[in-house]
Amino acid sequence: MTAPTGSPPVAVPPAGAGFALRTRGLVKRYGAQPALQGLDLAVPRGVVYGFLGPNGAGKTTLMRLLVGLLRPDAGDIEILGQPYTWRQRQRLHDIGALVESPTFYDYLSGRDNLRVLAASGARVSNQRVDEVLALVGLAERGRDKAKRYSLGMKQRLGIAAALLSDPQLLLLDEPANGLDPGGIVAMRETLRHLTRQGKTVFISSHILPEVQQLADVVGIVNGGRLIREGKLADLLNEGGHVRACVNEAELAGAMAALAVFGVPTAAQPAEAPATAWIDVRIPPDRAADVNRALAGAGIYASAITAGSDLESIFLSLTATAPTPAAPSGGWGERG
Amino acid sequence: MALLHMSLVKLVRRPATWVVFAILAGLIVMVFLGLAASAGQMESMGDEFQIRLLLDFPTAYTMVVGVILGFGGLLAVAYGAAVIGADWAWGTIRSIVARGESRVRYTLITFLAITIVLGIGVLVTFVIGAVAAIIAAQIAGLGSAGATDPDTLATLPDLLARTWLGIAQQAAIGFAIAMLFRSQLAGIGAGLAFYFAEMFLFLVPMLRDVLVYFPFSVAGAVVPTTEDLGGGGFGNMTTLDSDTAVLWSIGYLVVALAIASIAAWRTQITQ
Repeated sequence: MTAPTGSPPVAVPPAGAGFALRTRGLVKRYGAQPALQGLDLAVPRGVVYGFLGPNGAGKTTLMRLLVGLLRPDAGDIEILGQPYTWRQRQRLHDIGALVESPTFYDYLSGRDNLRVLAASGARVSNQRVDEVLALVGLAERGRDKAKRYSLGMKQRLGIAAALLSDPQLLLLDEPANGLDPGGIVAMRETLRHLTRQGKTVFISSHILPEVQQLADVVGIVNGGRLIREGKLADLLNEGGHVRACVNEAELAGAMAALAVFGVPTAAQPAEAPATAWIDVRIPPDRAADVNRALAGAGIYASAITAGSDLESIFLSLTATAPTPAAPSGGWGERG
Repeated sequence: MALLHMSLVKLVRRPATWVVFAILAGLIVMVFLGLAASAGQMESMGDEFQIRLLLDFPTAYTMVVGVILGFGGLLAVAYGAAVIGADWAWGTIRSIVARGESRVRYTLITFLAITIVLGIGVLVTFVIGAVAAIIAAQIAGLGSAGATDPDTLATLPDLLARTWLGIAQQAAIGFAIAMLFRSQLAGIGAGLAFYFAEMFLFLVPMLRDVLVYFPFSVAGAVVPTTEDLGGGGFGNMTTLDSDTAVLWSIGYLVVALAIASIAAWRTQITQ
């Protein structure tokens, strides 16, 4: 994927300038099985919005509802400041979407696949087809049949398809899926470039480190309901932690000393013999305060670490235990 | 126009399109070569007369369109189902709908493209069949002068238009079934099952008066037949007169497309 160059950066619209996407009380059921149970979402314009949730949380259902594949059972959707219902398909002309895995006609070239899409919905010129092919780094392979594309190339083609109409709102389902490290970096730069132009990027993803690098705002959904939404920076700050490694014999004293912070602390055995880690849920920039509190009690930590990661925040919010099979964010092309 | 153009591009570049027409052309050639080989070897004079009549022009033209409507109709059911069913099986319908394309418009334009391709296919296979019939007539020692008789040639556009309608109607049934089931395999399977069920039910004499109004029987009856030769896919079986069959065929075509359009419009895409 080729990072766009040459265009001057455009200022991100100020907060409150409106929403690119809003849902209110969105409900969708598959028979008796609820997928969304009153989802309220507010995606500001000009940001990268990370939409996170465990499997079965309702992420794909929301994507399908937003692009008219499904009809909601209840609730409202507002796209780019205008109400959107299932029958108002023209509203989708301002949206580019990559829903689930990209699908193409294998016997057609990548370019012809884009031409097929360009002929449907909002009309797009052949010149634009070539532009987006170049943007995702497929200009040289555009005339190859899609069946000869790797998973990563198909993903790039899917992103190219989403960009065809130069949309104001881009909906991407697991956009980094199958991309190699270079492709991920280029995709990130491309999406950043789009937001600098005032466009909004809505990403549904499992790859939390990727979202952490890319998103300005995140929404976390679980069980079909939004359980947290806000600026990523705020969330990371609230979800930060400082960890101190102390001698096991001094563990009780250390816990008592750290109680001054008034936040939950937890201890677990450390790798070194007879030592333990104490985890204090405070912003990472307060590591020195932890060190000072321990020293004040005559306890000297053998190590102090501070950090904040979306993954641990996500897991604590969704109460989902990591499983051995869960993807850990490897970038290599799969399949 | 852009969507129709790209729909045609999809069909022309699709290997299945060429396979379907190659199979049909091959079958027609085999039928006529078989007839030529059989001529002069029949024990009964009646059979010999029948074979020579089939190879004699203008009857041979009716025979060609009969084979196209018969074997071709079977292939058309599968082809109609395969084209729209693939959009569901491969998930490509998702990308089209997500771009804000009208589902009904996409459905109808896809079928229009199928109809155009089938029309070209009917024309090409008819020409191949006519050449095969001329060659077969020569092998059987019959003249083929009737093939270029001006009065006969004047009837060919009407004959081909009716054949096209019959083929398109059969494709529409496969198309509608695949759209209802949202599946390529189910569409082909159910379409062919429907086709053969209707054909075998003709073996029950008491049902024939009703079955002549059934879709595949109607499609086979759209071309005028030579007496005792039958015509179309159901051979010598009882059929409607061709003009009535054309009206019924148009009716079935419209109903099939209406069903496909409603299914496309209402379906929630979860695939």
